[in-house]
Amino acid sequence: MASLTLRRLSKQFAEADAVRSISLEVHSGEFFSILGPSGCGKTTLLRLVAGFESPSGGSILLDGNDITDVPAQHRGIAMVFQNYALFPHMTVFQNVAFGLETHHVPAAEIRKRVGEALDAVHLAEKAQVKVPKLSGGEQQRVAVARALVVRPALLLFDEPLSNLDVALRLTTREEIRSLQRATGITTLYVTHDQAEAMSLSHRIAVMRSGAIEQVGTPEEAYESPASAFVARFLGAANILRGHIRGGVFRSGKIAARIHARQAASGNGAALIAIRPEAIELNVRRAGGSRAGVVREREYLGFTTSFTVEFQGAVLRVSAPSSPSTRAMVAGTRVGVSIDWSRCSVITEDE
Amino acid sequence: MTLRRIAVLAPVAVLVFVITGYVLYPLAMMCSVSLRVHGTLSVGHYLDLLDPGHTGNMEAVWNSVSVSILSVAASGAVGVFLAFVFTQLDFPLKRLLSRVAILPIALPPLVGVIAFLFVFGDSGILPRSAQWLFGLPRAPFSLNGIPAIVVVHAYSFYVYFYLFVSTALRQLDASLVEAAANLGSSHWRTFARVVLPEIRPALVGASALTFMASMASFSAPFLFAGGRRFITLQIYTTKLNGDMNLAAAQAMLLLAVSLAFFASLNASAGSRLTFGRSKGASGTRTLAVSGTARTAMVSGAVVLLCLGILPIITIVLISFAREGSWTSQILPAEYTAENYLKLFADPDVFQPFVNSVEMGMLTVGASLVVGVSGAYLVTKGALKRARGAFDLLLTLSYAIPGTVVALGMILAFNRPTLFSGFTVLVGTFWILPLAYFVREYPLVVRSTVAALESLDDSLIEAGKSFGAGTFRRFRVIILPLILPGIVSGCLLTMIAAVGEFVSSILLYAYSSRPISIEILSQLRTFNFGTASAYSVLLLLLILGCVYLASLITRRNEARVPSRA
Repeated sequence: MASLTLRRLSKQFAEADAVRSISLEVHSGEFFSILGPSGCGKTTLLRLVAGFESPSGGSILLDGNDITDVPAQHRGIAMVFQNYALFPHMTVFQNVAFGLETHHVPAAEIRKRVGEALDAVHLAEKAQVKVPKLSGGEQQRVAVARALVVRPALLLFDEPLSNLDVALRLTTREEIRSLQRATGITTLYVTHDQAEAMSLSHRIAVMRSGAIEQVGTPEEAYESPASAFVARFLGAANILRGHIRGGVFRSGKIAARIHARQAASGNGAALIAIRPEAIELNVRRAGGSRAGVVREREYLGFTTSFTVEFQGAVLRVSAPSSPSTRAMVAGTRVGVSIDWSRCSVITEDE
Repeated sequence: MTLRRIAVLAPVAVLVFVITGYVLYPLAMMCSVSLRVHGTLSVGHYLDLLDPGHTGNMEAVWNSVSVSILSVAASGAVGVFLAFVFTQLDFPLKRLLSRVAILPIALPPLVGVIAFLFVFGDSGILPRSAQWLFGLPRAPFSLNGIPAIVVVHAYSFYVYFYLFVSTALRQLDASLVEAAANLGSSHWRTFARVVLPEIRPALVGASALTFMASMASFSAPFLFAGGRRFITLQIYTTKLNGDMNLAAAQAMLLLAVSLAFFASLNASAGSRLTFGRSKGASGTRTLAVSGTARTAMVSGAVVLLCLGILPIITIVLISFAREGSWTSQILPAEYTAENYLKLFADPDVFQPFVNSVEMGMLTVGASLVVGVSGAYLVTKGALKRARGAFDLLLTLSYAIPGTVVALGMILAFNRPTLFSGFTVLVGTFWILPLAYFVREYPLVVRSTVAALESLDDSLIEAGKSFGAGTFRRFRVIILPLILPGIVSGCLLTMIAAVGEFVSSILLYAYSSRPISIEILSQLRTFNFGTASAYSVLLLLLILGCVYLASLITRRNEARVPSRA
């Protein structure tokens, strides 16, 4: 178990700055995710930590020791690759044993530890199978076992679930989560899937164009996004552009009194992010709600999603499916009430 | 300088030394010699080449170029046809026949030429059979002169087209053709608009290789040209006449033409020599062919392949013919094992065989070391950044005609230099494997580069991530995965080396004569049986190497399953 510290880490490629002066602290035993769209530099950041790329500037510390110039094979950091990178010419056992063999662990202990690791990922009976004969999900678990068995100081994941189908992705996610919680190995996890990051992580960092936009617990990032980008990336968000004066936010015809906590940044131009589930629609206009018109309705099973025209703005609204949501077909006039206490003010511009 | 740095730089230094000393330096020497008339700097020899009063040299260039163009057309027709038949149609014995189709690649050029001479030549088996069959006063046809050369070239080089186009057709996504059909496109339109663009790089690549090989061809003109001039023959005769400066100028001319085509080969996407790397589904059908057309095409292919095996069968037959018993008959009258017994009984007669095996092994050994480390350095190692330049340097010598390589060796190593270990190499045993090495190691480079390119980088990173150092990564991860590529490159190198003739004829001494030279001298004294026995032995040696290579690959495969 170790903590990871990045100090003003940066990486320039010929074409672009992939990572721009990132400073970060991952605590010992923490599951930390880096979340961002493709091309934001998150994989480069991971590869810098793994030692596959050397940084253009800054330093990497593992438990306070500078490892910036330590070659990858001497870092004691294990990685689970996006395509698993299992050695196709070896059996499951040989793959998992690979890291132990390089560290000259005695054969008897290798057998014991590989056995335990394969048990942990429910693949004990496949030990002698050649890797190409495994299914995608099984390969993924071998990759996890291969990384866990060396008891790394730090475990890296590079979008490990992106090659799995949806159902398998959910169960594997649960397995990774419980394995990490059981072993307590400090983990750095890279993904573009916000649900994945939020379900697995103690903390997440949202990355954009080589820089970190926000670091926090999943709740903090979701409930109080630091930027419109973070708000949009972590689930759908309605972003209204307007200004705040005297504790009142105005955007077009919409005006609302917002909490002192939210308006801490004072007066001036501001963006406000409203989550689709913070808006309620009523077939009959209840007290305090204003009129809107349903433009589109999208049935998603558990929830139903609406596009609603409201006071000159177009809002996305999400509600648990029910007889009343079924009644709100396109063109229905509905009452719209926004829970302003759940909205967040973003002062930083896009 | 740390030990680590030395370990990284040492292979690079060796590689640079090899390329400089054995590829570039001989060429530079040749260039400098070609620019000297009676010891002074002059372009006189080049002016001689262009002299309108003595058209011999330009005639030779013209003959070589036109034969090469015809060879490309003929090889292309045969190779593309066979590629279509073998990828698009199913028929009995397809697997066996597809092996027969690549047989010419294992046939040393000289052996192929002699076999053709026996079958189709002026007093060959087929012309005489036809004469006897129809009771004609003379043979109704026979192959000699330019048509003979073109046919022999087509036989030797169609394999380029066959392999390249087969690969392209197999990689062609069948759904593209289905999509075209789905959009209402006719067969011909689909072929012209969808299939042809996909196989064009393969066609360009094979054409360039065939053209280069035909320009450099020596054995076919040597035995079939009659009085006609060809550029490779010109260089050989000029050298025999002792005019090294003019020979060098002629060689520079041939080199220029070859390099121009090498450049176009590199520019085309089909430039990778990917022998032995048939991946993907081999059963993809892209063209629906009707019953009759199918039968006609398959029959045509079978007839072609039979014509292709005929020379080999003939060589085997003649190797058992009693010397002097084959004069005016269709087939030799008497048979004996004497030709073989003689080979094994007399150590001096057996010497060429020993020489060729030794030189072959030396060539493969050197190619293995230089080729694999070069390939590794440019794809994954220290030279990755300078890849373009080194890619070119590493494969450059493949584009140099054998005659030119040999002449360069003579001019460079007829005096002690650093690169020759401060001795004179001309006239020694060592200059032959050195020339073979220079000509053939690019085959190992290419096949290893291809194997390394299909190797996923993340496997190497995974190795690093789990603590494996450079050496262990190479031994445990990379080597088992690229071994098939290395082996196929080495096999081609071995085949080329043991049957080498073009460079050898300029470089050999009696004690260092390889099999091919001995075959030729037996042929010149009309010992057809002995010449054939040597040829058969050479073929068996090559078959042995093929078997050995498949054994190595299979043993490796038992440990390394191909990726699903």
